[in-house]
Amino acid sequence: MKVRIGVERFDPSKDESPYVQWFELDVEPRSTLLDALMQIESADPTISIPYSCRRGVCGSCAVLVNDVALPACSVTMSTVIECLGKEIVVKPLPLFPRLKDLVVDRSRALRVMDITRYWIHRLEPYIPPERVSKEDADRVSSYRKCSLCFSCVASCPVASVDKRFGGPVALRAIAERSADPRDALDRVPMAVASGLYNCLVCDTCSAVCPQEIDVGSAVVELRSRAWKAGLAPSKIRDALDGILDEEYGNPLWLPRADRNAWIEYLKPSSKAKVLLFAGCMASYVDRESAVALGKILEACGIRYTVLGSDELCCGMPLYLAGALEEARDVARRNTEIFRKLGVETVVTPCPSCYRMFKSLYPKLGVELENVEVVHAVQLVAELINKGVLRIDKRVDTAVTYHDPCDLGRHEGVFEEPRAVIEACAREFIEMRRRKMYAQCCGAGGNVRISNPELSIRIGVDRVRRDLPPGVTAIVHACPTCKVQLSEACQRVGIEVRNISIQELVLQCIRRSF
Amino acid sequence: MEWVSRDVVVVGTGVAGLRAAIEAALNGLDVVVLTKTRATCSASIMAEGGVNAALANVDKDDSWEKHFIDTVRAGAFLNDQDLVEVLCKEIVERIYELEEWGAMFSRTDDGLIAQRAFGKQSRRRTCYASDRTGHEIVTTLLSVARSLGVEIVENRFASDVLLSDDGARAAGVLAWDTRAWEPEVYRSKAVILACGGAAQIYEVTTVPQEATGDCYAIALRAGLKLKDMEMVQFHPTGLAFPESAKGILITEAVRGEGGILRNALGERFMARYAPQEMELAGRDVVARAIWREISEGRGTEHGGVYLDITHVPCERIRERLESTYRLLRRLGIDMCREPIEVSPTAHYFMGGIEIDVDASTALKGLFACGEAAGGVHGANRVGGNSLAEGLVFGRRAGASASRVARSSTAPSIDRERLNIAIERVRSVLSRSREKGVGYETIRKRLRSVMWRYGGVVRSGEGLRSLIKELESLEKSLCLLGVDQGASFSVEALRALETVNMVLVARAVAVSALAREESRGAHYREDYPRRDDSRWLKHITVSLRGNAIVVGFSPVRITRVKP
Ligand SMILES: Cc1cc2nc3c(=O)[nH]c(=O)nc-3n(C[C@H](O)[C@H](O)[C@H](O)COP(=O)(O)OP(=O)(O)OC[C@H]3O[C@@H](n4cnc5c(N)ncnc54)[C@H](O)[C@@H]3O)c2cc1C
Ligand code: SF4
Ligand code: SF4
Ligand code: FES
Repeated sequence: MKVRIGVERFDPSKDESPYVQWFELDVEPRSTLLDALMQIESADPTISIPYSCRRGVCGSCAVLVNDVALPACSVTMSTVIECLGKEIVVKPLPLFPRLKDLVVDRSRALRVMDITRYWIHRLEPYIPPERVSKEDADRVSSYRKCSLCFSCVASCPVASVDKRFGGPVALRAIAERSADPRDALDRVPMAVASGLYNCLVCDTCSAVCPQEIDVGSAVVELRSRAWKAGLAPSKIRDALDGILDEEYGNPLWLPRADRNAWIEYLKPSSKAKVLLFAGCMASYVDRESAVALGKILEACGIRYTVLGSDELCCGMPLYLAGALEEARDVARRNTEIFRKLGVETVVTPCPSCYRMFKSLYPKLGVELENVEVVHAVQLVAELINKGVLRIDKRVDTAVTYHDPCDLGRHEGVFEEPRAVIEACAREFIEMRRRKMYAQCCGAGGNVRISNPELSIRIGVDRVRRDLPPGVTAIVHACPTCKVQLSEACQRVGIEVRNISIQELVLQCIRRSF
Repeated sequence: MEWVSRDVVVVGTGVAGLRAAIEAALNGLDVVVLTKTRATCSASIMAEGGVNAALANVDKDDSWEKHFIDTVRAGAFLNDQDLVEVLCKEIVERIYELEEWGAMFSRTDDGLIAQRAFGKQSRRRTCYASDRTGHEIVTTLLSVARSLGVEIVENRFASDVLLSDDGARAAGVLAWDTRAWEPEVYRSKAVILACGGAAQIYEVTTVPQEATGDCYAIALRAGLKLKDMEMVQFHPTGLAFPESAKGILITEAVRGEGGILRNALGERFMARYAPQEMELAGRDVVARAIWREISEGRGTEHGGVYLDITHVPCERIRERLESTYRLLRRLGIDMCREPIEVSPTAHYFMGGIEIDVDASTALKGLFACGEAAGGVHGANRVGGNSLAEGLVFGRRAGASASRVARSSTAPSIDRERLNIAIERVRSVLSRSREKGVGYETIRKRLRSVMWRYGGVVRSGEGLRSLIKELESLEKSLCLLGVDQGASFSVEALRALETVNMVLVARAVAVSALAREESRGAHYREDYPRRDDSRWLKHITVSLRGNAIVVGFSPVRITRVKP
């Protein structure tokens, strides 16, 4: 496979500013990014490239590739090409002083131990043999395997705009110490102070982590401790109250009666086997997404039902806030609603509802029995594939696609949306960072609720850095991302449309209604 | 030139160096730890399988004596038994101490530190933290070091031990700030060498880039003796592909879980070498079998053989071999579906600087511990004993250094020797690569000839030609040059390491030629048997002028005779 790799070179003792030296390489798709860098090193031994263990434990090989920090020895070129393109620029990790070319001075990395008071704080004197349960040991170890490579921090969208954010490496350290039954120091206030509630739970950090540490779960665990200790920010508590309030049932505090406004345009049936679950965001804010989905179903002759004003939040904001008991409660109620309705399939335009039903309900110990959950794009892709839905014409513009965290990175749905868009648009151009390395729109992790200004700055960052030139629209598979990036585009005067994939499809089919 | 004064200077941030530094700090001394790259770069952090200690949590009848016997048997009686005794007795306390400091080992069902069978030991004795034991221990030691305020200085390349005016004592370390390649003198009352091993002198190896044998070279230049340098352990299964990951360790557990070895012709060749034990034969046997298959032309595309575990259910693989599975998947290899290409790989140096039970060397005020020191493992190392060695002798080195530092003042440094040492390094740094040769040419050649003639299978003839080749490489070192004008550069570090590597390679080759028998990890085609009547003794090497001088020293047999 041919790739073009630019290496940013800089020797502070003789160069005025960094410059990029280009290399054309032929790489095996299965080889690693480090293989490519080592090929470059042997072509020019004066280039300084950091590596030591070659197997993801020493943490020294992290470099910045098209704004994503990656541990070079632990990522294949095929992943790099798939998620970042065939032309990449490799720069040193930005968090540390540069020494030369791709090598940085990492001395201060160990400070994360001081900041988190990482050493054990025992209350009881230690008397061997000590007993620790397997479960506790496993949980501590799952966060402890960090190699201090700092790929996560350098890839974190929050850390890149908010310098006070403690970042994933600190959060996972605090989560680890908090999970250790032998450690008596309460570090939860420390986590809150270092921006626990600014985390998007987007898991970009986990996607780049050579140890695949589940930072998202670490954050939720810490938030759950903070929730119990009454340390959650007031805006979060307020939004959760909205969900738990019977009169409202949503974090936006919008009247229950308004929840069915989008249904006016549709013809749902009462006893169908398919439930169109719109979710809070599509019910109240981005109604076009829900309406378009209903129309597509109707065009295909699929009978479906809706819950209208009886629909309840899926519980994602509760989960993200660490209100796990409350989230479990909502999960049980929704499961019960689905059961009573007797539906076989739940289709939703919202990736958060999708992930909640599919993966997080089971994680909370609640199983949706005999109900298949699909996201709108999966259904649409399948309908097109089977010939049930005929695409009659293409929209005559170039468009791009934004991967929502909950659908892409979390649930691995990358191909279906692309297949649908390619069928519907004249040209499909990828964002610069995409798929596993797509940047969050900024709305994740309840941050749109708790810190709207930070949230929108991340959205702006996303469109500024990654929007390919020449596209007229960003196509979305998530109502929240759509609303968020529309705001971001407006904020900085970028003139592209933000539309849902369902709306795009609707423009491309002959409608029989 | 910067002058820094401390009570104790430690070189190396592996298990041995960190444990030594912590001991000195606990004793209230002012200690600094230097490392040439980053604190997290060491062989220690890469160790997977575990650390041996007779806690008797699983096999209740385990004892330090049984650990002792297993160690000495595996070492083919070339171990210094006084060292082994200390190792086996004290490691128990060292493990509990790690736990007290927060290390989280894997647990038994009733919550104790779990112990597993490892490396053909007679009892389940190996404590582990999943398959990242070294990482667990290093992380713990680093956190303790931070809490004690131990000064850890990265980007310092130690090039020489400095001697006192009268030459009778160690007086400090000459180190280079690699960010500017400026010399720094670390003046101290005691010095601890813990640079780890030198398996980077081989083309295919498991070890980190840093394992270039610097402390062996430093010790030789300081007039000390190294012992057992011919004893290099080769692990049978290192990854053959991709190139950047060549040699990295594929744990024995893959064979333990049912992995089968096949050559390119599809033959399960272990049937020819060890019909009884097949894939589960000892490390040396399997390594030599694979070596033979490859060198006789039955190797795979990437110069290995196939290690195939695809017949084992994927769930089991993912559960039992979690991190290997994850590692390979990140490299694009799905071990559930396709065989892994593997070949033998250089892993560990049993030999090293001669030490006494208190980690002292022949030079007063100088201590050595960990892989840099020799004598504990004899002719072969039991898996899980080197982390143990680092912990036990690291602590001992720290304690001994503290004693010396408390009872003496810092000696004044022999300036003449210091200047010679500085000049030696500067002569490399100041020559341009255009006018000379780049390190990569010499290093590549070195690694390739060591692999061919000084590796898994050796012969008198091969070793003699190897020594010739190494001598000519050694001559070409005077042409070694680097890109001029650069401040920090990896290239300069690699060049200086290469000088050390050539010296260490010569020590290995000369020792291997001297030992006319096969014992432990050392296998001579021309002398395939062990010969206790002639060779139950250490081979030592030292430097006289530029020549390597071979000597012999008795094995300290204190408890069990062969
Ligand atoms: C992949 C792998 C798996 C292993 N698995 C196990 C196992 O399961 N159990 C077990 O017991 N052993 C295992 N070992 C062996 C064990 O890890 C090492 O032998 C042991 O950790 C050596 O520790 P050390 O402290 O002596 O040296 P190292 O850990 O190698 O540390 C040496 C340190 O010295 C520094 N250094 C070197 N030269 C210089 C210089 N000139 N100036 C400044 N600093 C310098 C290095 O940067 C490094 O920090 C394994 C080894 C490898 C490579
Ligand atoms: S989940 Fe996202 S926002 Fe949170 S720490 Fe990880 S990368 Fe940063
Ligand atoms: S959490 Fe993962 S990505 Fe972050 S520093 Fe640790 S190992 Fe690296
Ligand atoms: S080289 Fe050690 S983590 Fe990549």
